[in-house]
Parts: sequence; C-alpha cells; structure tokens
Amino acid sequence: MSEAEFDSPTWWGEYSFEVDQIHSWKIGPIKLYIQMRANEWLFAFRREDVSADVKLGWNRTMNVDSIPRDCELERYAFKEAPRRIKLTPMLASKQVITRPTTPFHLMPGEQVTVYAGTPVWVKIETLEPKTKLTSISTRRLSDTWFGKSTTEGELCYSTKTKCRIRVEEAPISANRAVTPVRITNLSSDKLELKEISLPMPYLTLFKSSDGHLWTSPVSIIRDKVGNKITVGISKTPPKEVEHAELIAEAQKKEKSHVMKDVISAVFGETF
Amino acid sequence: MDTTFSIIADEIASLHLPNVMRAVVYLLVGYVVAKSAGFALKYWLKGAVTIHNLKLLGRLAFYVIFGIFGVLAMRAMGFNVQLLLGAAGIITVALGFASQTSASNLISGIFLLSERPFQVDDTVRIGETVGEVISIDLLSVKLRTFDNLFVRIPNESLIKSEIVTLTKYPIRRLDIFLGVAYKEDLEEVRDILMEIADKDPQCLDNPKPLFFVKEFGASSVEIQFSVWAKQEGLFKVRTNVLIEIKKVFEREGIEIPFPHVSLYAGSQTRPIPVSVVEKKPDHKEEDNTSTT
Repeated sequence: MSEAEFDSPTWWGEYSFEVDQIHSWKIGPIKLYIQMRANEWLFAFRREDVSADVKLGWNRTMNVDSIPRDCELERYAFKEAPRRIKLTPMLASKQVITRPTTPFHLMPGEQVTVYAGTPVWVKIETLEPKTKLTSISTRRLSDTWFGKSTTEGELCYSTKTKCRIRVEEAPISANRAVTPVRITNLSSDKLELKEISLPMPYLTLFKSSDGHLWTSPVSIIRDKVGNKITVGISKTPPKEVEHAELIAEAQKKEKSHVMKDVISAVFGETF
Repeated sequence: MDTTFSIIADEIASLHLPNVMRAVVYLLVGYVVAKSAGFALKYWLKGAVTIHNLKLLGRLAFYVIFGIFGVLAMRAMGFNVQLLLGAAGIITVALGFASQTSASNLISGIFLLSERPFQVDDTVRIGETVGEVISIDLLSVKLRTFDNLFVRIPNESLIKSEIVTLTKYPIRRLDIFLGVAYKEDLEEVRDILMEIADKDPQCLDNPKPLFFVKEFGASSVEIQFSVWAKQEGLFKVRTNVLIEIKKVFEREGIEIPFPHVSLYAGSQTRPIPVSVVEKKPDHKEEDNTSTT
C-alpha cells in the first residue's frame, strides 16, 4: 500500500499489495484482513458484538503480522493474482424493513424527516482485470418476512430505528448509510409508523464532504382522505449533504411494486 | 413436420435394403430424431415453463415422434397398419384386464399432473417418507431421501395418501417443545427465549416468535417456543436455537427437569423415608433390603 493510499480519508478506495502483505481495516463492528499471495487473494473477517446504535469509526493498519485464527475466511485463486484491489461501500441487495424501537406517530397535517441508518457491505474487486470477488456485510442483519401473509411476500433484512428526526442526530457511522425518509401526513388522522420498507437496491449511494455515507432520499405522502399514499425515490443527493459525491448507482431500476410495498409498510398492513 | 417425415421416409424407402434392415433403420433414425426433438423442445422452452412440465413435454415429443417411426417400421416389414389398428380395440380390452394396476397408476398420474401438489425439486413427506422429488412420471413419482435412498411411489397410492410439501413456501415455523421446572419464573423464561430469537439473525423478526405455556406436566411446565425461519437451512436454525437455549438456561440457572416421581403416603404424612440395609453374610434370606 502506498503512502497516498494509506492517507485516503475514507476506508474505501484502490489499494496495491505486495506478495504476502496483509493489511487490515476496522469498519464499524467488522475487522477485515486482506492478504495477497502469489496465486490468491485471501479475505478474513470477524464481527464484534457491538450495539447497532453506537457511532463507530474506522481505521486501517498496514503490514499486519498474521490473521487471527477466529476469523471467517474466503480465498480466491488465480494463475497470477492481480496486485491491486478496490474496496467500495455497497447498499443491501434486499429491502430493509426498519421498525421504530418505540411507537412513533405523525400528527395530522404534519411533515417530518426520519433519518434511518442501514449497514453497508464492503464490495471487493480486483483491478486489471476488473473482477468482483466478494461483498461482505459490515453487520450481520437479521432476516425478516415482508408481505400480506406467510405465503405471499418476500424475504428482507430487518433493522430497528430510533426514528431520529433531527439531522444532527442522524445515525452516522463508518459502516452505515443514512436514508432521509420524508413523511407527510395530510390526513386528519394521526399516522402510526409501524415499519418502513427501505428499498435499498433502488437507492443511490453518496458520500458527504466529511466522508459519511448517505443514500438518495425517500418521500412518503399520505393524502387528505388518508387512504392514498404517494411514494417517491429521488436520484439526487439529499439536501442535507453538501458537495455530495456519487459512490454507487442504484443496483436496480425503480419498479411500481416497490412503491406498493413501501405503502403497505407505512400503514403497518403486514400481518 | 409432415414434409420432414415424408422426406426422411422417402430417403429410407429408396435404400435397397431387406425389409427387416429397413425397419431397423426406421427405428434407429426415429430414436435419434425423437430424442433430438425432445432435447430441442426442452432447450427452447427452458425458463418459460416449470421443470416438471418441461420434462413432460420433452417425453411427449419423444413418444409421438418415435411412435410415428414405429408405424413406418411396421409398414416396412409388410404389416398392414390399418388391420393392426382394427385389432387394437380387441388388444386394448385384453390389455385393460391385464394391466388394471398400470391403468390405475396412469389415471392417478394424470390427476396428479393436473392438481400439481408438488413439483420436481420440492421436498415432500408422503406417509413415512421424506425426500426430494426427482421425477414425476405417468406411473410413479421418484424421490431421493436425505439418507440418499431412491424411493418409487406408485401414483395410485400417492393419490390416496396425505402429501405434505415442505418447500411450498419460502418461510416455515419451527416448533421447539421444552419443559422447565415448576420453581422457575415463566415470564423470565419467556424473555430469555425471545432474546435468543432476537439475537439469532436467522430467526425472522416478522412473523414474531411465539411463546405458549402448554400445560402443567408431570415433571415440568410444558412450553412451546416457535420461531420462523427461511426454508433453506431450517435444521441449522433449529440446532443453533437449541444449543443457545441450553447454554443460556445453564448460565441463568434455569432447570430443564428430567422426568421424576415423588412418593407420598398421603396428604397428611411426611414423605416415606427409605433406608438400605446391608445383606447379612450368615443368613440366606430371600430379602436383602427392607424399607420402613
């Protein structure tokens, strides 16, 4: 790893390795070791049992002596291993259902932006030739089912949210991307937010000037009658982020069913 | 298709071969053409229809084409096909009597195909047998059990049996039955079990885990703890949850009692004291222990 690479202000980027060199990254709760051998790349990682709420940073260590024994390992063999790799943050490939830790109500005629944080994956690819090797989640997310019944629906990831509504309290962490969800309740009834389905594969990932990860915002508007919801996924960076830099395009193109799923989540219509 | 057949038939007919040889050529060519048509159909329709229907269509194409070449082979050997067809009615009656079981299996197979309770690659439980469906044929269904045995179940018996398709839906509920000692605080037990499910990422958050107190058993309070999990890796989840329950119960001092019996002489008396008396070496008595 060169000095310039080592001084990079973010944990992601492009890195060069010498044969048998081991470098390590600590990204939030995960400790990742990467070793290049003459004919293979080796990735080892272990996750610490840290509360999802805690704000975590990151650090990088060059020339680690050895990989600890209690790590999970992945190996990728080559005739001659490429010397450069690229680490990129990546959003979840499935929808993430986020549930408030305490009951959360939006009063009639009110609008609020909820800042929800979701863990990112570390995508690792070789350069020259550019080949994706693996993607490792920084936090193991719990599985959940999202649908009308136990026979109809889809498997998603699950997280909990404290429904932070002030930007200063946004759940920023080295291993998390923050999604601003703007909810507008135009009806005369209060809206109980039981769960929100965050369509992560359809969101774009950005970096703020201070190196934090944000996604494109989601807007949810409940109409005056209270039975129609309009949902929008923006492709532009959130207004809270100045000088946003694009990190990764959305993995999937927007589909109409995504909108429907978010709607049912807002009303808590799942079983 | 007719033109293709007539071209192939004319080509073979133009060969100067003895009748038997010509019939063999018809059959060989027919076999190759029918097989190729079956494969081609499977290739074209792959992804458009289910694996099950793909296999059936491939097989149907094979039998129809091979049947046509079979008729051509019989003609080549000098058989009058029209006469044969006339005799077919009588043969059918005779065969019907002789093959009642096969006919029953065949009809049951047609019903099964239309009802489609499972598909190839599904895991099913039929009677005592649990296995993965490897083929659904007109006469029988073939399974591979998890200890790698091949099981053939005739369609006739299948249609009368209860079939449980274990892989029909993507998620399943795992029921874990356990007993805790009467002295334990059941609310604490419930909280501990819920926390175990909450911490295991493979246990689904929604539908939520369930906790029931089933009954006051002879030796313990009987509990049902149910968690939902993905279809794949269900047994792994069960094992992990059971290991974690044992570990946490031991740590928290919660007793999982084994069956035991307490003897009382009556409600007003104290428990019966028991003492063991050593056998006297000089006497050959029948009883060497006594209880008081």
